[in-house]
Amino acid sequence: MAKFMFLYRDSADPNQPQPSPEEMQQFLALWGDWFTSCGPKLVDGGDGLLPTGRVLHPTGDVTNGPYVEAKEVIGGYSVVDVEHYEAAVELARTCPIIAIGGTIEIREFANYN
Amino acid sequence: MHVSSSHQLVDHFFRHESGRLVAVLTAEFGVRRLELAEDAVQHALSRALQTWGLGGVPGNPSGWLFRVARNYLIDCLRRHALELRYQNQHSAALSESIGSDDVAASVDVLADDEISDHSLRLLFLCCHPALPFESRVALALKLVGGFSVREIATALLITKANAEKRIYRAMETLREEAVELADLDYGSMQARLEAVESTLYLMFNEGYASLSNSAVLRRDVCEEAVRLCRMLVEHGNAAAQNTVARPATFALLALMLMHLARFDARLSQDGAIIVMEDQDRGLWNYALIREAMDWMAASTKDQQISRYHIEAAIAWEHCRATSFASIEWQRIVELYTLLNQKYPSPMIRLNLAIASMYAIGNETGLQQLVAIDGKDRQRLRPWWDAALATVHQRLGNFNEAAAHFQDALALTDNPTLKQFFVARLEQIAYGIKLS
Repeated sequence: MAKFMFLYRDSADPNQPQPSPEEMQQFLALWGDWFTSCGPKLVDGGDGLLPTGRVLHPTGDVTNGPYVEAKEVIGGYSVVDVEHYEAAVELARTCPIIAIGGTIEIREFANYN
Repeated sequence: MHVSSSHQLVDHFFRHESGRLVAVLTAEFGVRRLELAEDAVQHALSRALQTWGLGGVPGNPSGWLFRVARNYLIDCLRRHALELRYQNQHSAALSESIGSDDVAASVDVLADDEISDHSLRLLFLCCHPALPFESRVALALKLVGGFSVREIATALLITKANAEKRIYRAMETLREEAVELADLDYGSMQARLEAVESTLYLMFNEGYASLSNSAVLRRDVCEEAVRLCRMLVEHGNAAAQNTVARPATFALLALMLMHLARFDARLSQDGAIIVMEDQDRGLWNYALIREAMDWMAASTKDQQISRYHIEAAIAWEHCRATSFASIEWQRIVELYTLLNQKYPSPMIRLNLAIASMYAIGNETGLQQLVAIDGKDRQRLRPWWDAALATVHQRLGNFNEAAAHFQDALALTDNPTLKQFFVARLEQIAYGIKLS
């Protein structure tokens, strides 16, 4: 078994129609159901990351950020414990963010500690 | 172990909260900032979606949303004021007029009756006399109901462009009229009550009759009309003085509840129309019917009879009958006759003709249907054609019945109606005479 981090990014399509409040609530319920269905595979539900931020550069400058394209900003993360990458991918497929055009970056932990 | 957020929010929480927040923010910042208030609420809901999904629903979700929305709105105003100050040195006064961003703890927790007061005023705003009726319905659904333009278009079976236009023009008119929520005192609300009742009646009818293929959204619109009417009748009850509602409002609520109670029996699982004779009364919501009875009783406090009283009495004849066979059609004929005298319309004439068919006989029904002609008949098609076809089918005049169902079929694009007419044509082909 190995640990993987899921990094969630929103849909890449800026022209996607705004969901209604009702649709947003349904999406929220889907997240809850998905977490429940992950069961013990979900080591850490994680958290969202607010769209604010700071970037400290090697020069010592601090900029407000991350000012990259909206679709590249990481919206949140979770940690799962499954056998291998294939299993992690299969689990990620069922996440509701995929259905609305988002992406999940899947990275295996190095276990340096 | 992650706490599932799916069961912590009541049904339609986001939708209703959207309406509540728009009302509260509009009350504080003014009607000219209504669109900004809507943006602020959308922003807060999006933020909630990002953080609650992974972090769980906070202890006070309403307070959380209010804080985020209000801060966003204030930020926008400050930024706008700074831009103006850059352009025009005299706008210091403008930025002073913006609320402080030290949100006092007490502001987070607005009392329920304060919120419903703002929401009610926003509803009355949406029923401003300068706005056409269809615009009032769309505007109320959007601002107070929390429906998106797409949902409104789907529920009412209009195009999205049409819905957007109605709302855009309505907002323009409100801006021109320069009204504020605070302008609506008890007196002006009383004056506008009839317009609000008509708007809610229309909203319910549109949801009920649109035959849009989204049964869920149609039902949601009907439930919204009921929810808003409940807000109307419950306002001021605690204070026991200056209640806005009047007996006609109670009758309207009773009427809507009795229709809503029978909503599920009207369509099959596949969305096909089920005629009254075949509807399963076991699917009716008797809790709603009981509630309707209470409101009907309350509506007779004074002797005033509104159209809602009469329509509620008709609905009551249907609800109290234990089977289709035991419906007192003669009583319904009397009520439709009264309704037609006081508030004549083609649809009422049609319903009277159909009730007469059941009460007196097929020939009488036929005579009354044929007597509806000219412009009235045109406004009733294809329902007039369908009713005529039905009478002929009952009389065993299969050729005439088939001809009129064919006419009806040609007059509609609605798939649900088409399916119904096709099914009746098949019945006729088999020589099935209705009784």
